[in-house]
Amino acid sequence: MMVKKLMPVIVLTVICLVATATLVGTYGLTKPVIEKNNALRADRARVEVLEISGNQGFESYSYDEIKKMAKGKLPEGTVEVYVAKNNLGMVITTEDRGFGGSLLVMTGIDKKGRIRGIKVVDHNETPGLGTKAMTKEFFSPYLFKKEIDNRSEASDDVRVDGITGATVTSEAVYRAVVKALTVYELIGGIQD
Amino acid sequence: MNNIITKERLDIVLNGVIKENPVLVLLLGMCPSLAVTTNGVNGLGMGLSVLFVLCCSNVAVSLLKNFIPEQVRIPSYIVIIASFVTILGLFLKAYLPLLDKALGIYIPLIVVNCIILGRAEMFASKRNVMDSFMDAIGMGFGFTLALLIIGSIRELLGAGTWFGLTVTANFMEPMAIFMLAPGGFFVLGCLIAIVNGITRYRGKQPEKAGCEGCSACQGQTGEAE
Repeated sequence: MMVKKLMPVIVLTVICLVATATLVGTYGLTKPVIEKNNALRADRARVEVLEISGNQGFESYSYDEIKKMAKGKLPEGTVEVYVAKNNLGMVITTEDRGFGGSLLVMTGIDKKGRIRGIKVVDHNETPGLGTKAMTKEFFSPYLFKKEIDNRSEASDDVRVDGITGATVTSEAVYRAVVKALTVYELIGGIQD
Repeated sequence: MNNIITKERLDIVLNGVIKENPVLVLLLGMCPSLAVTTNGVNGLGMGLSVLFVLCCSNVAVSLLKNFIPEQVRIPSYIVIIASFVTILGLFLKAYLPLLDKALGIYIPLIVVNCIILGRAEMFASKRNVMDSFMDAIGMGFGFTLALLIIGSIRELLGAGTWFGLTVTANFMEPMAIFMLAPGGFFVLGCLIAIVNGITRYRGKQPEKAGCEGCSACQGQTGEAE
């Protein structure tokens, strides 16, 4: 009688245990591959936004280091700062809110403080609309500028335009890049 | 048991692909059918992911049907399905990271895909392993086929490409609305209308997901979803 009542509990527990064991195994099997993939992807993206870094790789600053260098004025949404090992530039990852949520942007900045490349590394924007504000063509006005301004009255040498139909995404990307430039200024650029 | 592939089993497969196509006839699994089918690759990827989980869960449920007590069968099925979905998700992340990124949250959401729980409850928990496997193959391919068609149409009209290859983009302005949610509804609606038209023309009424053997609704009136 007692056993019959307990049977469902026992069976469900056994099923859960077996499922857990299987998942632990699968997780252990795939974890190194996933981590390698992520590191590889991030490395590739960093080279993409800062081609002058060559293939010598990057060195990361820890968050506390950046915070200390920026003297507590670090803008919210600063994620990572990587310096090229050949000391020719820096890749700063910043975050901002787009149309569909968080938007992660990598900005490559050279020694002179000019933008050399921008890449949206993670986003939840509308395919076909928001993603228009992530193309190479969209970013081409940003390149080689030390400061940017998206207001229509801004002068031509700092002006960058948004894109029709992707206003929110354009603005989010713009704010993220501005943040990256701010971080670059705050930590005092590249130290020799 | 000499003949593994009998006519009856072939019928089970064809039943899932055509006569009881989960998306276009039974109207199950609408959420991923609308959400991830912005292009052909995503549709195909989602379809094959569901096919994999459906095969594993149908076989597992069929194997365990005599051990699982009536009272805890639904939680047991959910645990089994969720495990296979998590395994699939981890492997996709490791070996097909681009597809994983494109499908995003809809991979873990396969757990609550009603096709899978529906087949476990209505088919696999009553039939032998081979029949259940065939049912999973049929239903899975039916789902994949439907998603592939929806995805291809939306990609062609919305971006002018097919599987990333430029087809009509050069001479026809792509209509971005087909990439958005309304476009998904348009395409799905038209496809269901076409399938209904064909079945009616051939004098066959689509079979509805019946209530026999399923007590999930606790005897309330109405039909299964």
